[in-house]
Amino acid sequence: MTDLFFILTFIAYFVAFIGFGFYFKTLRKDVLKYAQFILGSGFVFHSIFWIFRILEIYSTNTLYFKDLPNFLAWCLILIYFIFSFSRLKIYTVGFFISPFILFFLFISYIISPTFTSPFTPYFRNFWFPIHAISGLFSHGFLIFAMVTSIMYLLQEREIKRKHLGIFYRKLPPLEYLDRVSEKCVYLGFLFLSIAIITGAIWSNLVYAEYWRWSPKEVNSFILWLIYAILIHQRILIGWRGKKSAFMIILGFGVWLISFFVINLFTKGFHTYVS
Amino acid sequence: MFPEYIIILIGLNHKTAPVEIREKLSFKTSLSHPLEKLKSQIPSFKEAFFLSTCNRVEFCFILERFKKEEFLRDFSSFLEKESSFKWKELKPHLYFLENEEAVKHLFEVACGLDSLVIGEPQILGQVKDAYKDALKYRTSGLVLNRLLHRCFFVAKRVRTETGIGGGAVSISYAAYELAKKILGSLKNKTVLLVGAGEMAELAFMHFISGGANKVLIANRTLSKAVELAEKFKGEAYSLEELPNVLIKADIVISSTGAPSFVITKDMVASILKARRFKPLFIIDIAVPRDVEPEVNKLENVFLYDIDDLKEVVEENLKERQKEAFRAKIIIEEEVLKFQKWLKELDYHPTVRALSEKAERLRQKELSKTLKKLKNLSEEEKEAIEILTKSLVQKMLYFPINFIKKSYHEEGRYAVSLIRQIYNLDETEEDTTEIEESVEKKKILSKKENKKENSKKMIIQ
Repeated sequence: MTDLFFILTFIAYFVAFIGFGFYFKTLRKDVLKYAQFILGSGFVFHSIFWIFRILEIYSTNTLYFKDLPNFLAWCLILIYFIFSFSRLKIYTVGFFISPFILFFLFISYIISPTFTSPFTPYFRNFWFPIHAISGLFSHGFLIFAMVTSIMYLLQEREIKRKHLGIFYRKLPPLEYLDRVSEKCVYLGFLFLSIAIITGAIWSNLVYAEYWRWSPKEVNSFILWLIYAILIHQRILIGWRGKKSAFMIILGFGVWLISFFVINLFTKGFHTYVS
Repeated sequence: MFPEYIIILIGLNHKTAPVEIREKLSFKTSLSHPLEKLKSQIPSFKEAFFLSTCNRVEFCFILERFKKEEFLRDFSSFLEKESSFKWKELKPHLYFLENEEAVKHLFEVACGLDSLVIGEPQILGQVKDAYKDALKYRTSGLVLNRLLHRCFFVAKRVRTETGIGGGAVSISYAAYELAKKILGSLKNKTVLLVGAGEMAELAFMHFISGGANKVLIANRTLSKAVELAEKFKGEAYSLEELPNVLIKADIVISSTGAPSFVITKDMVASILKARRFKPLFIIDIAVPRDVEPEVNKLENVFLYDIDDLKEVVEENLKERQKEAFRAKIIIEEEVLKFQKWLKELDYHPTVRALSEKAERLRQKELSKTLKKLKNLSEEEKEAIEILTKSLVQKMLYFPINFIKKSYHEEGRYAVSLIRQIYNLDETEEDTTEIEESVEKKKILSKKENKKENSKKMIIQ
């Protein structure tokens, strides 16, 4: 059952990606509507997939690493829809975000199922799901902010160099891109804080220790600091645009390490080594 | 010999004629409309259309082929009389197009491909007005009506399918588009005018229509600033206050006559923090320049001078040229369609279309009836078949006879009448729609009958 919905989801997202590409080329409103509709139906399949998958996790007692990028893709789509209903019109972001969504689904497909983590009774309490889900949402907002930051840099470059090419014509205004990445940073920071706090509480319940300085914890803390600096500078001094975009891309680099390298290749806590 | 009609277009535009000739032929000063004069003076044309803008004058006529010589003679003397130019002087500036060439030209004009600024939208409105005039003076008929409606359709199609109208082609509009790409919505944004020239005001009006609602004006002489501030309902400042005023502005339009830089890099750099690095868009349309070019290197400050804007406009024009190629392909396609319509507007194709349509309807209705009547013998079926056939043939005799008779006098106009009555130019889908609506009406009337019956029952 999960396999069927996974395939349906992937196909729908792929078609939506092509639709967004076509929208990027023509900027036709009706094309956008179709692409969003297909993405939405893919999202429904994806949600059904996750209902089955969660039941499976609880019944088989194993958590695969491949579940993480898969859920991340789900978060990204939810974030996309939240922003496409907001006042800031940045529709072309669909064309830039959908490759990431496809990439995460692809990764979750090819990663060997040997990377697992036993889903012991410790996991079956109130704190763990909150920790995991808010953690993944904070990653989602970071990736979304990274994508809008890249779009910002592309647009800013063309306007500054006075060479108004394809990005100038197709991409949304600078101000909108900046505002969306700003909102993503606030929300990402909120979710990361929740993830760290709930993680600490959970760790205390299971290991009787709040903070254990494992690589993942250190890395998350660095990411949290980057967020904190960014928000501090933004509110107090008014850092925005280019500087903030580069900072977000730096944060994304740190996240890449924490997500793939530490989860898969270091020993100890938070790892999915077979 | 059936009468054959041709489409003739005679005109001149900014490429073929200097303004001295264009203005004499624009007929804007004369009391009565040229179509009215043409109608009373030249009897040899069937339909006429006249378009006059500041860049072009076009006459389009539909007439019988054998009258062409006579018509041209009359028309040349008409123009000589109206314009006070000799025909010999005028002729090299005019173009004479016939049939598909004329149709193509008219389509291109309506799409703005032939305009001075390629793809400009006003021309379509002017063509529409000219068509209204032709309707008013009753000089438009079968062919011109169709031709102009196709014209409007093609112009709309070209506009939606190609980017011919995209990208600003005036400096002030290019500045407006840039501001929107930098600041997003212009609602509640503040515009600062430093000095004021005509161009600055033009750009400024674009920003106001885009939603900017606060105006600051800085000028060397304060009295002039106050005067402008009253005009635009803004606040007036002197040039010495510029750094403080810059803190509040989102868009700056600078156009002073100062010999050196009015806004320097140091000045802008010093206020960035106070602005909290909010984006600032500076448009410098003064020559010599008012703003130090280095200002563009500051964070979140975007400076465009007059040459930059000119370059943007030129790029956009090049882009429109490219799109014009795509538009021309669409136009070719539509010219072919129009030619096809004109060709179908003849005796044989119409009779064929008419009998084909009748046969199609007959078959459809017959199969419906036969489905319901299941217990028929072969003989009875055949009888019904023969009945329907002869009914259709008898009914068709009248329209076909009408075309035959009146074709010699009225030609295509008679054909067109029949085509309109029997809806022969509609596609297959349209006719099924019509049939469906007829069916629906039948069902509705049945229901109403039932209702009435039941009412009667109650009364009884």
